[in-house]
Amino acid sequence: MVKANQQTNRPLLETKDVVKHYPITGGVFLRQIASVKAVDGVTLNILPGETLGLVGESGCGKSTLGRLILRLEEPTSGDILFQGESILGYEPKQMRALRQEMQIIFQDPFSSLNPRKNVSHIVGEPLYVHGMTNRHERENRVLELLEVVGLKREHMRRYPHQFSGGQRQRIGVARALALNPKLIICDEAVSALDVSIRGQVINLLQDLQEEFGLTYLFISHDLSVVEHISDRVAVMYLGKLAEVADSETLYKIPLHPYTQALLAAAPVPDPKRKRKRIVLYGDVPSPIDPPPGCRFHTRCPFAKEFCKQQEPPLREVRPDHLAACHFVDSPEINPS
Amino acid sequence: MDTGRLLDIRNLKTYFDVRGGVLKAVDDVSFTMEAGETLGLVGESGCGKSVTAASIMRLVPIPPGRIAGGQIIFDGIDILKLPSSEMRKVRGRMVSMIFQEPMTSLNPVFTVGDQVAEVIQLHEKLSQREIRKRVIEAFRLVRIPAPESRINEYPHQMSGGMRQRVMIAMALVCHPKLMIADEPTTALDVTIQAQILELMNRLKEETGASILFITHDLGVIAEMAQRVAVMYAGKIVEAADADTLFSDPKHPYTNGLMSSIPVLGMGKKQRRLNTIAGVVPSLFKLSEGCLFNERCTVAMKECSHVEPPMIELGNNHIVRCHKYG
Repeated sequence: MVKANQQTNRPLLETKDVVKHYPITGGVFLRQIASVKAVDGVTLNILPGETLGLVGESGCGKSTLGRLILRLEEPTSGDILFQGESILGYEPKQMRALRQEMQIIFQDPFSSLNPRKNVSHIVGEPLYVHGMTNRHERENRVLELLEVVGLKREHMRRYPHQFSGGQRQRIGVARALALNPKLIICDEAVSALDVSIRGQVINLLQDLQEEFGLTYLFISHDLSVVEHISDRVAVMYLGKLAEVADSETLYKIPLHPYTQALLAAAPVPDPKRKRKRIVLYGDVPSPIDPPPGCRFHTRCPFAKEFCKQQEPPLREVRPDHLAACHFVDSPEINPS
Repeated sequence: MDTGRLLDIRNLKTYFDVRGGVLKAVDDVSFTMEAGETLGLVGESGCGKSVTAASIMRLVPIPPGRIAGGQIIFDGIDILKLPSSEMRKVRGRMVSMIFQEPMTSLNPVFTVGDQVAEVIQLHEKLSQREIRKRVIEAFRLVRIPAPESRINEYPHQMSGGMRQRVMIAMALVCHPKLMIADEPTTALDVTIQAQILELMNRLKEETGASILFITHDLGVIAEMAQRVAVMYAGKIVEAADADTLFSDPKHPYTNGLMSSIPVLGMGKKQRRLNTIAGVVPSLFKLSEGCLFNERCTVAMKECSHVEPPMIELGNNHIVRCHKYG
């Protein structure tokens, strides 16, 4: 059953020009005076059985995109399709049924588990909500899930505070797996963990993917973890996609200047490897008032006058390699 | 007493008396730092690296904390023996500290300029005008654009990277000999982290200050440190020159750490990450022998009951492991 439906190349999930603006109100009558453009037109496909990595700096909208996909937030415009069907028009009841198929693992294993419920309750709750009301049946399934994520029978009656960070994240994984979902959104799922524990959880996620044919949207700011786990990677900057390609290509031949800078900035644990540094000056501009034209032009070392006026579309520069840059083919940026 | 070294920590023990027993946060830690050197202190959460830093600054809350033994000799003086009035003169002037959280370690109700000025007021008798000049100079040093106007801003008006620059300016303004940087870039984005690391490296060359760089990130350590010490459960388990440590790690824990991080540029070739089984031991019930014993893949019989001594491998490389005894 491993990646069984990969041949049918229909995406499991598609986002079509998804936009999320959060209004900022002010003045005496609390009228909308501006908006935070968290996600500003993202079109992305996730294929069944693959891991799509989504990287970007804080505030680029990657987590918002994850929440939009689950409809934990309503998009301002655009469309989201799950298995070819638009889910934005779904009634709450249909939506609840759909949530069996899509689950999320949160970043912080300390705040995403209810401290007053024991593990059996936490992992069993989605089962209960979705109709498994027989307690005995539910406990059996919980036990099965705990085993899958590497926890033991005696852990079932314990409370979150009795576990270490890595174990807590395993509980979060078990909860996400409870309903046999097709898609799991991992929102910085390993970022809060220590190095030696992080490896264990990454391996667990990969094993589970193989065993259950899962599809992951892996949201992270950690470039090396994303490279390790992803088949394809999308890079986000200020609410827009900058580049999308398969993982190997993206890390070997990044085309967009932002991706290049991001990769150059990531520290590598090898003191002898002195790389050419592309240090980006300045900070990420505010998403309330993003720069006109190309959003990266304020920090781009190659920016030209044209970049300030015209917004570059995300286009297929090479086969299956998309980038949003006007001058992606100029020898200055990408010497061939 | 003078060893010619900037910092000489000998057998430092920092314990906490808490309900449930004695928590040995730092247990018999020794290391030295030369002037102008950057020493990296790595380890996972709870290994005692931040408590080591707090001990040097004498910022360990007493009680519940106490220094149970050892010496910290800074520039020839044992700072553990200094009365607190003298210690106040050392802090900020001789040794300064850069904290992790630029969001919470600045006071939100004072302008950033005033907060940097406070350090100068405490240590030097200067007129308001001269102080202002020094603050602007410090801001310029850490490359804050338009320092004349930015000194009047409040922390919330600045971005995370700028706030961390203010922290560094504050640490630098009295020209200390040693800066302790406790996870200074952990809360920052990669591109901002790259800026701050570059800045710190440049400042070190300009000012000649030594940096004790504390982090959990091996990548950052590789870029910053000349020497690296690895801590585990309150003890230093291995120390060497950065090049040696990364190319030829000896301690099984260091080895495990190195192979459990995915390395950028390796792709999916490394299908599975090596992991270190188990979790960091509780600092309450530490076992008799080697603290890493239970998670170690090459543990021998004596590891469970005999504590391994620090073994010198030559070339400045020390390791606490029976394998090399």
